Amino acid sequence: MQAFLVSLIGGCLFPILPVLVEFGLTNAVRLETLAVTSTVYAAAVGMASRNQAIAFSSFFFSLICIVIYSAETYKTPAQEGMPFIKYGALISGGIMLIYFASYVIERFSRHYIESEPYVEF
Amino acid sequence: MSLLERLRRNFYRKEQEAAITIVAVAMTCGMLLLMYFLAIGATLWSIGTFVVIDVAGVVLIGSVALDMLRRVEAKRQLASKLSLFTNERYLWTLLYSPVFPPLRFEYPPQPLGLELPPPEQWMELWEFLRLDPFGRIASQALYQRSLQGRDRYLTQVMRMADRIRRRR
Repeated sequence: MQAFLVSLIGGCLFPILPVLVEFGLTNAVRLETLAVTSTVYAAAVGMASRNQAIAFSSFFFSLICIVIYSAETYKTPAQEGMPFIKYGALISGGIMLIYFASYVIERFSRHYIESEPYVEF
Repeated sequence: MSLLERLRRNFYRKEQEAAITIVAVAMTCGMLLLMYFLAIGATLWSIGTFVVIDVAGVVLIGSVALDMLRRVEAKRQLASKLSLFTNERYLWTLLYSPVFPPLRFEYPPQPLGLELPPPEQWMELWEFLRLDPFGRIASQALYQRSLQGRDRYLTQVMRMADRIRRRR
């Protein structure tokens, strides 16, 4: 159980730190920050996963988040209504939540059911 | 082992694999049904983006959840196989002996002069760990890279095996 809890701290809390800090300091989260965090988070969860579906889909969703980030950064006023900009926050947040849930379930089976240590020292 | 016996065991293995496939198909169908209802709900409340996230997310989370259920079942089945062994020390030594990688042997080797278990029981365990789909999942955990993890896993499985033995 200890390894599972440590893995949650290491794999869930640390990666969302940029979002939490920005929210804590400005009382809002910019779409760029959300998209970049989701990109890194999805890719990191995918690379650490033993599940092929998670591993491969994570790259796809990371790319989607990169596109959202680029659209938000280089948009012109005429492009405000683009779906990726309009729903960007929802998509990025959703991707983060999905990979968060997958990570929690997978780590539960690895660290609690199969007793795999998170770090050995 | 006779040809007939080998065929029987092979058939049993196929049956187990078929059972896993049925569970996977049932779960996928369940998820599709859930997504269908979510899609209808989302259309009614006109929140289209939510559907896109659902479609991808529920499938992914479901696949990980299915994987978790398989691991639980693998552990339970391994415990029931180990509950047939009475000589625990032999099992412990053999499973983690670097001199005798146990899965290479169809018949039990004899390390450290310990008492041998009956060959049928050994054969059953060997076949389970080598051929059974759940057994292969269990052997991954049993032979994980970390020795500490192996120890903990085997301790837990032995505890479960004890409980099964007491219930008999």
